[in-house]
Amino acid sequence: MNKAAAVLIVLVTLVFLSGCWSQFELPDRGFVMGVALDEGEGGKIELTTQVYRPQPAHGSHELPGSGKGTAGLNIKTSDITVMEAVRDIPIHLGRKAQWSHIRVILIGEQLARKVDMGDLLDFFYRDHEPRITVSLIITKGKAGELLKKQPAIEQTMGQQLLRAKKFAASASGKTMDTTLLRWVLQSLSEHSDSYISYVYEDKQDEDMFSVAGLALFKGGKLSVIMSPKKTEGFVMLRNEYNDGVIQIPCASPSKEMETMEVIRLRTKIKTYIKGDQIKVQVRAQGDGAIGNMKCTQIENEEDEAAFVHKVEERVKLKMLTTIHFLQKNKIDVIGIGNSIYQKHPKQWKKLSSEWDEKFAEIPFSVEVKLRLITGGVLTGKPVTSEP
Amino acid sequence: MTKDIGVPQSLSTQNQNNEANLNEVSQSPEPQERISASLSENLQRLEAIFADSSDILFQHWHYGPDQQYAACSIYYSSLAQENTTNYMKSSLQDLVTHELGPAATITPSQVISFFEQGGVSAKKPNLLNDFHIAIEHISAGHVVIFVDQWDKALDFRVLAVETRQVTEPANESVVQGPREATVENLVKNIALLRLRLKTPDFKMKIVEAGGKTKTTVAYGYINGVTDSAMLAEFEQRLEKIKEVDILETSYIEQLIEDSTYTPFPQHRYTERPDVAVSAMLEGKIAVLVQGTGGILLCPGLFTEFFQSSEDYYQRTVYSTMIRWLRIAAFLMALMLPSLYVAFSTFHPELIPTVLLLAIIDAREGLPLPALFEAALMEFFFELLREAGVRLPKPIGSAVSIVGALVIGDAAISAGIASPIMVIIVAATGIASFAIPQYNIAIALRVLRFPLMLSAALLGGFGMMVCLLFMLLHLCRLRTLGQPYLAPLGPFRITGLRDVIIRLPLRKLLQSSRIHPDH
Repeated sequence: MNKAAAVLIVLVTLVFLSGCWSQFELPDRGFVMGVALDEGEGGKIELTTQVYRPQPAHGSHELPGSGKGTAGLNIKTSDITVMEAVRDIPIHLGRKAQWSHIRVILIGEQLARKVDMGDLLDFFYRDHEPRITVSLIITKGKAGELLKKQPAIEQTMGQQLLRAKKFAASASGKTMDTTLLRWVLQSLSEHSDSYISYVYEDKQDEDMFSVAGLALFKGGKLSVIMSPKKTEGFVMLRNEYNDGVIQIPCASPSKEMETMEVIRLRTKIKTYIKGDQIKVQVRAQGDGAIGNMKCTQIENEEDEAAFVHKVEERVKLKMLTTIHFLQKNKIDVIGIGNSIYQKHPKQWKKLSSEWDEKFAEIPFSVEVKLRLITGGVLTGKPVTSEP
Repeated sequence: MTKDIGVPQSLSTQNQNNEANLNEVSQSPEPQERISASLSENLQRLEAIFADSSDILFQHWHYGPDQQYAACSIYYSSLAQENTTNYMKSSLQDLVTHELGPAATITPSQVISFFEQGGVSAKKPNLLNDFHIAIEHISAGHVVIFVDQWDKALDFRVLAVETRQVTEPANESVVQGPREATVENLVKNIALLRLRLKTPDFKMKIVEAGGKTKTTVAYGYINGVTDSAMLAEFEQRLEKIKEVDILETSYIEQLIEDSTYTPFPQHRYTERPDVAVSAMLEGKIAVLVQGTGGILLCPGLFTEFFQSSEDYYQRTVYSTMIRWLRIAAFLMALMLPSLYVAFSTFHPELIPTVLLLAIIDAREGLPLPALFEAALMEFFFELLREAGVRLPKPIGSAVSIVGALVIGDAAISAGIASPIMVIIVAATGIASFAIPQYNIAIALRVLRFPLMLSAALLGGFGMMVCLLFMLLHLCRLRTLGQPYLAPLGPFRITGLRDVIIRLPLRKLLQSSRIHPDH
C-alpha cells in the first residue's frame, strides 16, 4: 500500500478515536431558562431551576406530560453549596442541566441579606456554560414562588422576567438592567456598593409582577431597597436615563397632573475636592416632548419657558430626593467614590476608610436644563380646549 | 505486436509483415496493402473481409465497347440509404464531357488518365491505393469503386443518415440569448461554431481516434489567444485517444484530465455554441466528438463553474447579485446539513435561544441521533433525484410531488424525522440546482457526506478540518498545467473582475479576457 493511502487510513482512524468529544443530542439535556436561589432550612440554599419543557407541535408523538400548561418545568433542589444543588438536578429531571441559555437568576431577599452575593454567585461566574450577560434580579419574598407563576405573554417565566426588566429599564427608567457582568464590575471597583434590579409581586393579580426599583448592596449583602420613584432619579444621576415620564402638577388648587416625556437626558457629575471639603456638582441636559396636557396653554415663548422651567424643577427635585435617600442610607452607588479614586487617587487613600460618613455629608448641587422639542402632533394646548 | 487494440482479425497477419516498416512514412504501401490491378483479386479479399454482413452491397458494372470492361462499387446500403446518385454513371459521364469520343468507347486507360490527372468532375473523388484506407472508408459511409486494370480506387462520400435538427438546449436554457444547441453531427457543430467566429484565426483540427469506433474528434482554438504551451500540453495528452474507443466527449475528458480521483471537474461542458465561442475567446480549447453534442472546454477553472452565459446577457447589477447568490448556494449545498449536525450536537450555545427552543421542540421524541437523521434524509433525497432522472415524462412530476410531500410529511408524522431536517434537506437540494454547471453540483453531492461525518465526530472543529483539507486539495489541483483556483489561488486582482462581481461589459471586452496564470 502506498504511503498516501496509509497516512489517510491512520488519520481516519484517529478521528474515530476522539470518542465524539463533547457531543450530546439535544433531547439529552434540560435547557435551563431561569434559576431561583432561596434560603432553605438549616442554612442550606434552595435552588429552583426552571427547565424548558419541549412541546412538539406536530401530531402523533405528543409527550404524555405536554398537556400541562406552560413550557417551564420547575425542579427544586437544596444543599449547602450551589454546585451540589446543581448536581442534584439530574436526579429529579433525568437529564443534565444545560446552562448556556439561562435567561435570569433570581435571588430571594432574605438570602441576599444574609449571604455575600459573591459567594453565592461564584458558581455562575466560574462555570463555562452560563453566560456572564445573564440577568440578575432580587425578589421580594421567595424567589422560587415567582418562577411558579404563569408567564403573561412569553413562553416561560424566565423569559418573561428578563423582558420585563429590559424594557422597564429602557422605557420607563424605573429600574436598571443588571447582569452578572455589571454586578461584578461594580463590586470589584474601589468602592464596592452595588445595585441589582428588584422585582415584587402584584398584590391583586396572582400572576403579575413588577420589575421596578433597585436593591442596594453594601459589602456584598443586601442593605436597602430603593423605590421605583427614587430609582428614576438614580437612573438620571447615573447618566443612563433612556426615556421616561415626568409628572408636573397643575397650578394649585387643582390636583391634576400633566406629563412631559423626557426623551434624552445627559448628566455630568463633577467632583471638587479642596483639602477636606468635597463638593459635587450635577449638571443635566436634555430634550423633552409633551405627553399629556391638561391645564397649561403654550401660546408664546414665555409660556413655553415657564412650562419647561416647571419640568426642570421636578427633575431637580427627583434627583435631590434620590441623593438624600442615598446619603441617609450611606450607600454610594452613584460612583462618587470611584470617580475620586480615578481622578485623585492619593486623596482617595485618605478618604476611603470613612467614605460612608463622608459621603453622607457631601453637598450636592443640581442644575437641569431642558428643551421642549415637540408637542406631539398637536399644538401646545389640551386637545379639547378652545382654539 | 504494436497495434493490439481493435485491429480486425483478418488484418493481423498483414501486421506482422508491417513491423519492420512502422517508422517509415508510408507513401506507397506494401504490396499486400495495395489495391491490386486485378479486380477479381480485390473482390476476393473484400468478400472475405466483409463476409457475414447483410448490408454490404457489391455492385458490378460493365462499361466500354461491348460492355467488356468491369468495375465494382462497394458500399454499405444502410449508410448510403437515400442516395440514388449513381457515382459510376456520373464519373463516366464526366469523362464523356471532358474527353473525346462517345460514351461507348471509354477504355480503362482513359479512365485512369482522367482521374489520375485530376480531371474536373461533377463529384470530386478521392483516389485510394491503400487497401486499409479503402476498407476504413467503406465502413465510414463511402462508396469505393474498383476498376479492373487499375491499381487505384475511386472513393466518393455518400453518407446520408438521419441526424437530429438543431433545437433548443436541453440543460442550459436561458431567458434571453440564443437557443441553439449542438447536435450529434460533427460537421454541423463545427459549422455552428464557425459561423460565430468568422476568422481564419479560429483553427479547427481533426484527429482520428482509434479502436473499433475510429471516432472523429475535432478540437478548435483561436490562434494567438490560446496559450501555446497549454496547447502543446493538450495535444500531447490527446495522443492517448489514438488507441481507445471514444464514444462521448466525456471519455476524452477522463483521458486527459490531470487528476482522476478528485470529485472536482477540471473541464467545462456545454451544449451551446455561444458559450463555446465565448470560452475560446478567453483562450480555452473546445473539443467536439462525432456522434455526441457535448462540447468540452479545456481547461476549466474553479471560478468558471459559477458562470452561466446568462450573466453576460443581463446587466451588471443583476448579474453581480446572481453571482453572489450562486456562491451562497454553493456554500449552502455543501455545508447546511453539516452545520445543523455540528451546532445541534456540539455547540448549542451558539444558537439563539428562541431558535434553539424551536429546534428542541422539533427534536423531542425522535429515535435517531442527529447524524443518522441527516444522513437518512439526504439519502432519500438522492434516491428521489436519481429516480427522477429516469422517469418517463408523464410520471415525472407526480413523483416529485409524491416524493417531496408524502415522504417528507409522512416521515415527520411518523416521528422519524424532524421538520427542521426536512427543511434543511430541501434547501440543500434547491441550492445545488442553482449552480449552473452540472458537473460541479455532483461534486458537492459527493463532498457533503464526508463533511457531515466530520461534523458529527468533532463538531465545528471537525468541519473546519475537513474544509481545510478540501481547500488544500483545491489549491494543489491543476488543470492542463494551470492552477485550478486561479485568480483566487495565485491571487491576481485583475482576474477577479469576473468572479465575485461581474464588471460592466464595456470594461470586460476592452481588456484581455485571458486569466493571467502562473
